[in-house]
Order: sequence, then structure tokens, then C-alpha cells
Amino acid sequence: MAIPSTIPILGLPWDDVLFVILAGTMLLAGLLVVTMRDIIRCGLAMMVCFGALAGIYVMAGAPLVAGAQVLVYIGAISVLVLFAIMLTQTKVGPTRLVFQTQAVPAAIAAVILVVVLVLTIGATQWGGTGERGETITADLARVLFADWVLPFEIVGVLLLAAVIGGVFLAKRDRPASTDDVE
Amino acid sequence: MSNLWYIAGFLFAGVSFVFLTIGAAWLISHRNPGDVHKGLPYESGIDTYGDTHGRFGLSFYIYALLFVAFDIEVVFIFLWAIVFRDLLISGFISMLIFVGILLLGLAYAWRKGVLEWR
Amino acid sequence: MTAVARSWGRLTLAGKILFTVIPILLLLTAGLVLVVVLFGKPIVDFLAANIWLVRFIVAASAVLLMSVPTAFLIIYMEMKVIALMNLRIGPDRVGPFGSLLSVVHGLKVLMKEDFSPTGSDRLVFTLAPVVVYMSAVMSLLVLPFAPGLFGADINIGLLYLFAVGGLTVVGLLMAGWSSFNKYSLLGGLRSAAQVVSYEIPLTLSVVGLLILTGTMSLNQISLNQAGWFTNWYVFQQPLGALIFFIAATAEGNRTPFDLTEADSEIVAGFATEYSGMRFGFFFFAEYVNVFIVSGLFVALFLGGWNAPIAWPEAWAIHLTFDPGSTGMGLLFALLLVPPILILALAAPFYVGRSSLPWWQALIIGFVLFNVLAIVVVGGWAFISLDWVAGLLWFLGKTYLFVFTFVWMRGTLPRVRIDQLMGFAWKWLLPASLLNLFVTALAVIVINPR
Repeated sequence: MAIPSTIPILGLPWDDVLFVILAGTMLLAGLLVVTMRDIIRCGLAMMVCFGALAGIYVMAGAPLVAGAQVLVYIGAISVLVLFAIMLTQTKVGPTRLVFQTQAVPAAIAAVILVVVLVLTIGATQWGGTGERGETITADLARVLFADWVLPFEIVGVLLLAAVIGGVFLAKRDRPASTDDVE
Repeated sequence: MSNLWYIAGFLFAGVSFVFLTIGAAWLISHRNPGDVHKGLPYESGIDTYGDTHGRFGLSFYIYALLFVAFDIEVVFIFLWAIVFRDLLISGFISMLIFVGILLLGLAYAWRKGVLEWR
Repeated sequence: MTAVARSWGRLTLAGKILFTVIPILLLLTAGLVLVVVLFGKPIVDFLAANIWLVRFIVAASAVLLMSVPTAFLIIYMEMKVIALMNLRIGPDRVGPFGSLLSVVHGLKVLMKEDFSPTGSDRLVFTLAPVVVYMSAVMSLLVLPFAPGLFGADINIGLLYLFAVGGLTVVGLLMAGWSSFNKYSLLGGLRSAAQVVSYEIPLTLSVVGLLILTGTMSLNQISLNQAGWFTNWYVFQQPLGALIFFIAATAEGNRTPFDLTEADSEIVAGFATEYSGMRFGFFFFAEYVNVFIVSGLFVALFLGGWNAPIAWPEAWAIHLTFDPGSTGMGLLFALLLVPPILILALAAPFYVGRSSLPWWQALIIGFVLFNVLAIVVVGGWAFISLDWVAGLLWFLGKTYLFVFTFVWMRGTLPRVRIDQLMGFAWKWLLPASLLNLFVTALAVIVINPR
């Protein structure tokens, strides 16, 4: 008398329940990000969105990407975004929608994105994606460090550029600094 | 895949446990309306003064920025570490270059004095 | 009695109803359990066919039920140990040696007014402790307590642990921002900057260990350290272990790095405006995190659940006695042995000291019997069940480290914030990278398979 291996009436695997929950959370959180008026809450909703995306990565068989997603996007980049919001925001919050000033360009961009996505989805052959595979982390690492060493080093250069740019901008904001200024 | 069910279940369990406990506390605790001073932000006894969400130093932001760069590095290093025994010398050199590049950024930040707290 | 009456009077109507309903609910639950026991064949069959469901429910409830008493135990330990270090007595009123004081603290926090300051963002204000406690509970999922005794064995376990542990920063920032208080905001930002800075040395310090083990699963790392205590990674990675310990202290916001709660500077940091159960969860999460950090250190560097001595297989005692084979005799033994042993243990006291009333002798006999039974059953379980032995070793080592954290709190002064941040970036980060490359070089040269 075990629980049936698929959902009784629909005949879908149980993992689809998880997918629906995760995708629903993601969509809802994404909608909240663009519609809420309090920008801090927008940032927090964005984190929820990232977390649900990490879950979907696990479902797609890429647990390492999911771990990196949580570690980097929620733990680091969202925290950076929160810092930036708190740094620039002095009053309690705007009374209008945050992105209202750019509503028209944003709408155009959204429509273009939808068209591109629909075209891409329609043109893709979905034949071989039926079964869910699991990427073995060690295999991924072997491939990365054997065949893709150069892109890996270029990532290092990119990160270096980000650090130097950030430090440079941050120091420029401080003319009263006693350090040597270039 | 069953691990994802575990993670989701633990997330649900943890969140609902905290919410239920806070809800129970909300139900059983007493309420005291108090006067207008009760809800004011605590500032060591005097009434609050000035803008509460005031500006603060930029140092916090720079630390977060450095953290982002090194956090991405950490993911790569973890990947590298678990297969290091298959790579040996080539892996050692590629990681040395990668970390060296990032350390340039740290050295720049150090030189510019942003690592000094002020 | 007056205290109870006063507490009762202060409860809201809902609270009074809840307190009356809870005993009724308990009675109903007992009845339900009885029904299940009597007519539970289909239910038991269902659970037996879906043993994974049972495992999940047991794991989740064990972690949740364990987390709060763990926090209580560590809070009591901290109060008592620091008091003894300061030549004070410490808690001594509630329970034996004051050991129930932290439980009373927990109840007090539960009964406090549910309050949020004006101007605060109530939703975020409530969600902040939820996020912090959730990250603690989710960290406990991968901690290996004993052979086979863990929530889930995730193959990227260590990365998962650091990722989930990093969520604490978000909770602290939420608390700091939503409180609408300058001290809270400063404290939240400060603790976020601190946690973020020390996360890099913390994660890099274990890379040397990952090179040696070649896996990120905590369970597998514990298994790799079986045998004599010289197999523990602390002897191959002393620098890594030291950096991990320092960075973990800072991650958990413990003295000497508890700048977030530097009460002489920013009152109580991010928790300034918090009270009641919301504060309680910050408080619990801090101590659960102490336990997690200690447990993680033990699992990574101190051999996890492994005993320091590898018992030769010849010494292992295998009890061949099967209790089920005795049939009805077992029932009689279970019924008769406790009263007989209690009487036997009480007799010497009653006979030897004539001033002792009979009921006191009986109580002494009962206590002695329980001690004896726990020793016998525990010893039997320790010898013949490896998960009991593993759990005891794991908890013993972990609480040794919890004690070290408490000891440090009783001994060391707090560092200054500029020293704190400089130390992470200028000393710990280069040191952990050095440890990484030295380990890698050693592996290249020696290549121990």
C-alpha cells in the first residue's frame, strides 16, 4: 500500500508538484519585485525568486549550479544590492511605483523579450530533453579544468576588473581622503 | 532528487515552526497600549532625533563588493579542490594564476586603503 | 501561587482559551495514539510501505525538537560556566543547580508582549528572525551525527552548508533595516559586513581538506577519518583548522568578535528593537549556530563520530541474546524487575538509617534504579549499536567545543571593529590561500592515494 509513484489522476511524477511550487513561487516573487512600492521589499522578493530558481536548477540536475546560485546570488549579490539600496535611500520610500518613470521603454523591452523567447522556444528541438539527468559534480570539474582553462582564467580577469572598478568608484566619492589620489 | 524534497521540507518545517511559535506568542501574550513614547525608536532615553535611516559609511559597501568577487572564486576553488588529484601540476598552475589575478584586486584595494576601517 | 494567578490574569482571552484547550488536545492526542495502537494495522502497513516518509518526518521533527533544547542547554552552560569563572554562583534557583533557568527564560520570552515599534516595517520585522532561524534549521540537515544518523547526505554538502549559512546575513540586514532605529541599522550593517568578511577565510580554510578528501559530502568526510585519532584531519590541516575556528567564531558573532552586540557602542545591535518571541528566535538561533559550528568543526577536523581509538575487531563484543526469544518471560521480567530492584536498592537505606521515613528510602531506591538502568541500557547500546556510540562521541566532542566558545567568552575582551575587518582581509585570507597552496604542493609531491 505504498503511495503511488505518480500523481493519481493526472499521471504526472510527484516531482512535478515541486516544480509547480517552485515555478509559482518564482513567478509570484518576480511579479512582487516589479510591483511593490517599498524597494527593500522588492530586493527581498528578488532573493525569494533566486532561491526558487536554485530549486529549479536542482530539478534540472545541476546541484552545483544551485549551490553557487544560493551562495553567490542570494548570499553575496543580493546582499550587495541591499547595501546599495540602504546606502542611497534616505527617506522611507517613494510613494509611486519604483520603475514607473521608465514604464514605456520597459514595456517595449518586455514585449521584444517575449517575442524572442517564443521564437527560440518554437525553434528548439525538444526531443532529447525528455529524461532528467544528473550532472556529476566531479565530471563537471574535470571538464572545466581540462578543456576550459582559458575561459576560467578570463573569469578571474573579469572579477579583477569588477573589484578594481568598484574600489576606484568608491574611493573617488571621497575627495577628503588623505591617501594619494591618482 | 529526494535531497531536494528534504531541503524543501526542512525549509517548510523551519519556517512554519517559527511562525507557529510567534503566532502562539501573539495569541497568549498581554497587550499594553502605552503612550506615544512606547513605539519610538530607542535612542538611549531621549526622543529620536533626525533622519532614522541616515547615511552611513561607504566602507560596508566595499566589503560587500570584495566579498562578491571572492565568493565566486570560492565556488571555482571548491570545484577545483575535489578533482585536484586528477589534475596535479596543471591544476596547480591554473589555480595559481586565477588566485594571483584576484589577489591583484585585493592588493589594489589594500593599496588604496579601503581595507582600513574608518 | 500568586505568580501563577498574576500570569493568568495578564493573558489575553485567546491565551486563556489556548491554555485551556491545550490539555484537552493532549488528551485527544493520547486517545488517538491509543486508537492507532489498537486498530493501527492498515496505518502501520502504510507507513512500512513508505519508510522514506517516516524517515523524513522523524528527521524533520527530531531536528526541530532538538534545536530549542540545544539552545537551552548551551544558554544554561554559558550562564553557569561564566559564573563559575567569575567566582559567582550563577543560576541556582530553578531546577537542580539552576538547570531549568533557561527553560524559564524561554517561557518568559513566549509570554512577553508581541510588540513592534512605530515606523517599523512589520512584515520584514517579523520575517527577519524567521530567516535567521530557518538558516540554522536547514544547516542541521547535513550535519552527520552518527553513522546513518543525518538528515540527508548531499554530495555538495559543504557548499550547501555555507550557502545556507550565508542566508543569516540577509536576516540580520532585514532586522537592522526594518526596526527603524539608528542602532539597529548600524548593528545590522556591521554584523553583515563582519559575517561577509569572515565567510571568505571560512570557506577557503576547508579547501585544503577538500583536496585531501576529494568529496564535499560531510558524511563521507567523517567516514574518511575512521581508525586511530591520527587520521583526523586536524593533524594534516592544523593551519586550516585554526583559521576555520577563528573565522567560525566571527561568523557566529561570538566573543571576541561579537561586535554586533557591542552593548557599549550600539546598544544591542540589530536586536535593539526586538522583544518577545521574535527576539527569542534570534537568541535561540545564535546558540543553535554555536552548536552547528562546533559540530561542523568536529565533523571536518576532529573525526566526526569516530572514536579516537580504533578497536581491534577481536575486542568487539557481540551480544547474541535476543530479547524476543524469551516470549512471555520477557513480559514478566519487565513487570517484576523494576519493583524488585527498587525495593532491593531502597532496603539498605531504610535498614541502615532508622531516622529515614520509608517513602524517602523508596524515592532514593527509585532514583538509584533509574541511574542503574540508564547505565546498563546505555552501556549495552554503546557497545552493540554503533550509532549510539557514534552519537555520544560526536556530542561529546561538539560540547567540548561549545565549552571552548563559552570559555573564550569568559576570558577574552572584545576586539575593535577596525582590527576585526583588517584581520579578516589582511591576515586570514592570505593565510588560508597559503594553506591551500601548501596542501596542493604537498599532494603533488607525496601524492597520497
